[in-house]
Amino acid sequence: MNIAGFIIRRLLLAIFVLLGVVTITFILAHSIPGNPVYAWLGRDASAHPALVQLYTEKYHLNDPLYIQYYYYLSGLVQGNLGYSPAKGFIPVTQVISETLPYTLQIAFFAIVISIVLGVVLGVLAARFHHGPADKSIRAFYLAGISSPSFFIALVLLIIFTIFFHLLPTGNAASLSLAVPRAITHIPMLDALLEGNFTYFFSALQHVILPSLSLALGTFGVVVRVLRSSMLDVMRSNYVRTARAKGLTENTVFFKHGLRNAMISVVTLSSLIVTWLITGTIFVESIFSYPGMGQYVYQALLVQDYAGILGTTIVFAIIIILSNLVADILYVVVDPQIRLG
Amino acid sequence: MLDISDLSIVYEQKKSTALVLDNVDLELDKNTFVAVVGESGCGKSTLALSIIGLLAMPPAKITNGKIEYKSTVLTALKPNERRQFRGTEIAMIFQEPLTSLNPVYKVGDQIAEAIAVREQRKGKVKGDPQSDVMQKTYRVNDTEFPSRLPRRRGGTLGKLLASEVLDSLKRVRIADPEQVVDRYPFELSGGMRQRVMIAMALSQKPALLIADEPTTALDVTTQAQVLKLMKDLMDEVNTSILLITHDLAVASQVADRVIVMYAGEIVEDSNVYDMFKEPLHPYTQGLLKCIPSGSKEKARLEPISGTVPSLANLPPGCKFASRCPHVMEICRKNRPKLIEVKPNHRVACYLYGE
Repeated sequence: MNIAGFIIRRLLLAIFVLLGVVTITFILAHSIPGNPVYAWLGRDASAHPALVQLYTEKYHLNDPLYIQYYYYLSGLVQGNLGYSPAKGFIPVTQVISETLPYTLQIAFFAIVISIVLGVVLGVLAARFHHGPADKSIRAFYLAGISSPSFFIALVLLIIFTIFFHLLPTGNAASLSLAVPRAITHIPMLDALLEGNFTYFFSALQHVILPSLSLALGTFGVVVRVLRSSMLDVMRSNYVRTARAKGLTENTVFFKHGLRNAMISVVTLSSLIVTWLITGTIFVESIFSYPGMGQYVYQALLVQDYAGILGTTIVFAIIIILSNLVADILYVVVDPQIRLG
Repeated sequence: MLDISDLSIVYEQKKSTALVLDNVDLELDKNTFVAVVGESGCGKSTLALSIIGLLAMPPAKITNGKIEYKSTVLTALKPNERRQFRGTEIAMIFQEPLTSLNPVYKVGDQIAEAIAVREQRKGKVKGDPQSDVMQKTYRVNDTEFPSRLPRRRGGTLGKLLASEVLDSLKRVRIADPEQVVDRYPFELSGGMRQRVMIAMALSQKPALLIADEPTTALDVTTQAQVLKLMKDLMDEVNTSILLITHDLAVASQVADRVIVMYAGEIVEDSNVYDMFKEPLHPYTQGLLKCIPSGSKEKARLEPISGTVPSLANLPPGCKFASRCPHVMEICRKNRPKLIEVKPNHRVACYLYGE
């Protein structure tokens, strides 16, 4: 199969998926009862009825829903996601471009931690299955899976910040440090490119707890899937052939077993991205990390239609892209898909 | 070469213990083609796996006897010492060629890996795990290489191995071996895959090749080709073959010697001519009546009546007594021993001998 053609087809399909996401979110957001202007303006609204009138007209809130939908879509195709009441009516695109890089930082570290931890522990559990290592790993990941990430976040916050003062909380890096010059627009990457290690390590300290609390909730799924598919693979006929060749048990395990068992982890990885990226909403709010997740939370509180829709679109794009990446990785690890 | 004496193996389950191999006594010589024949569940696969040392223990457990190979008692070895005999001394191919090759590696790489194992072991003390660890390099064609398995065939080692990989594919009469080395197993037909399995096993130059139902998953034409290939290769590469099959007809086509197993026991053992001309054990006679002979005298085949007794709950006497047309008083009380009634013809039945 032609890989470029495959990607183009998937991206074209993604446009329709996004349109569906926009439509459903639009309808859901607008079905919250009440005039959102009261939520937007807060105390000012009851004091100045004229102001309410003004905003209602400016944002077409009295028009039928399909007219509002039309306005939103025509803005969307021009790259205008509207103005965010939650952030003092600055453009949503601006809010997203300022907050998304921080969320990507958290998500990146969360993905790395959960995949690395998941694969390492999954391999250990399968290699020594039914032994004490396997049993303790299973207890550990079960505790992780069973706890929601916001609960883990609170526990980590109490242990590392409040009791031991080991790691800071709030903000993306120490406020006394200047944010590095925007090259990639992702602050930690920019700091590395600039050689600004002071900022990088400060940012690393701030990012570690949020991403760890996300990762601890998801790595268990990787352990579980890898362990069971590894045990399946180790019973397969080709593993028996590898043993019959006289290979050492480690070669059999890592070269013949793991390579095949990893296919299931790749399938899982796009799901993990989805969990982690949506999990940032809670975790960023708890750690007051200035990412997009925290913005989603603020937008939801004040019925910020533009903010809700804009961030949902960004989440959808990330999820679609991660699925695409997983499909491409799938082709790399499984030759049958490549040629079949 | 291979000497199995009084080997008994049980499968331990929660509630019961099944005796899958019952005092199996067997000697294999160099350069012979031996077929082990029996119904499903008669213990022939367990026998094969126990010889190569791939039997899962537990649930299986050796309760009696030993397997001796070139004066080393295999059953007394530690797992890592036992591994030294796999591949280069005793190799094995399996019933399902579709699933027996690793789906994510190219055929050529899988054969190269087998050859690398053989090269790694050159000049080492058999059964000494230390020598495997100590050896940091190994040689192919007078060039020294680090002692790890090749990952890509691009390197120098890869190229040297590549020519031997091609030779091994040519040996099993694969047309277009240059193409086949770069194929993945799922791109090959069942017959081709089994040829690749045979090429891989023989590339390690084993003294004994165990073939566990190698042609059962193949169609009749391919089956005949693969059997003939194995027969031809036995002389070419100087190896013994132990063929495990449920099909007496298959055994008759290729084997020099046939061993008939019933419910975990060897009931008859003789050269192929005597076995077919003059079968002694009533079970062997029954099996032969199940093969279509081609002559028109009898239109119907005669199946053996009854079923195999449960291995977890065996009767005290002969295991075949309940199905035997010649059953006597003694058969229900005592178990007959495998005795040599004629030169090189052993049978376990009270109709013969004393």
